[in-house]
Amino acid sequence: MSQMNQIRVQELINAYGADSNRWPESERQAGQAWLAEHEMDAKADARKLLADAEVLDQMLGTISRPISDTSLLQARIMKAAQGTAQDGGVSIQTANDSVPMPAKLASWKSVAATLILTTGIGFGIGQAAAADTSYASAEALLSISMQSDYDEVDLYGDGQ
Amino acid sequence: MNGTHSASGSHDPQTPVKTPVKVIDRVDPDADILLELARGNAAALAQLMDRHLAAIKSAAWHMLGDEMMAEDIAQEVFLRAWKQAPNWQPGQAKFSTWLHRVAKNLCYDRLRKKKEIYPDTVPDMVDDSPQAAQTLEMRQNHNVQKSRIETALAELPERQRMAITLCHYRELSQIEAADIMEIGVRAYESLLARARKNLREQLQNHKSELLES
Repeated sequence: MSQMNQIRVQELINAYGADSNRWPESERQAGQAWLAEHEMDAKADARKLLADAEVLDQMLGTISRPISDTSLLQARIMKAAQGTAQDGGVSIQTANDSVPMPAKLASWKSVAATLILTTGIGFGIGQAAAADTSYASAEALLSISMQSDYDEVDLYGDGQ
Repeated sequence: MNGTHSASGSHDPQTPVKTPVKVIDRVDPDADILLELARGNAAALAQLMDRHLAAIKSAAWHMLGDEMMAEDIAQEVFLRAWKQAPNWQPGQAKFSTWLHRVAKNLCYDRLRKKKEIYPDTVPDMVDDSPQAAQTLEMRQNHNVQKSRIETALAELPERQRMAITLCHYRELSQIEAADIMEIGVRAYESLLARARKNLREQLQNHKSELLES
């Protein structure tokens, strides 16, 4: 049980309110014990503070939003995800897509190989170099886009 | 995407960047889903939403006070999760923390845009004029009460509002909430205390009326 005193109890009430279930777990028991011990202590301002905090808790409780059914929203998000490729180009698999990913990749490889063979005959080595360049550009673009996602660090200081 | 990065729209170079690198040594309860999500498994996305969609939407609603906006935010959060799942690096923050961080930053962005578009407008501002008083009388008492409290919440600075949302409406532990806000526990506690003080001051004049209704 942590060390508790009037100042800390007041801090807890000021920050988390009267309901000790919202207090930090490590201090909850000690805080409750301190309050019980000073129940009749007129000098302990914490009792008044507690009553005031209870009023605010009650007020905040009146606009508490019950968790509503989200099935429609979930369906909307699933639909939107179907049109959104993942980073790395993986597209969505639904329950109907019974073919496992390695098998899919294998079939893609065979399609790609066929295409390369048929087009390779017509175009030759010069085109292969161009393909390398476009691959490098695509990779650079992906890298930039990933960086922009990752650079989203917190913008705010502690104070407000 | 990993636990030490959040997802916001922009970055102010004037503000010190916080790097709360904290290694979470417990197993992420969503780890199994994330593996499947990274493989593009739609069922995993549905499962992830079963676990977290309601909570994310609820947090956004308490931040923005608007059902449609809250749904838009929730959709964006899960689309980002879907899109970036292959990049997830386990072992730093919990995935649910990351989801809340994305939601938090999207809410902040949305609130700022709202301020830019309607700089002088505070949503549902309570007016003490006789006309407004008449209108108020026509409402049900509990609606008046809710309106005043929603207004008081809407007038809080965004970070204070987020702290109240996480503590009071999401009932998260201090560590989880501070993690989501990417600040220390003491700083989170201090935000909460300031938020409650501001709310008390704003609602002081209506206290008896609010409690009667």
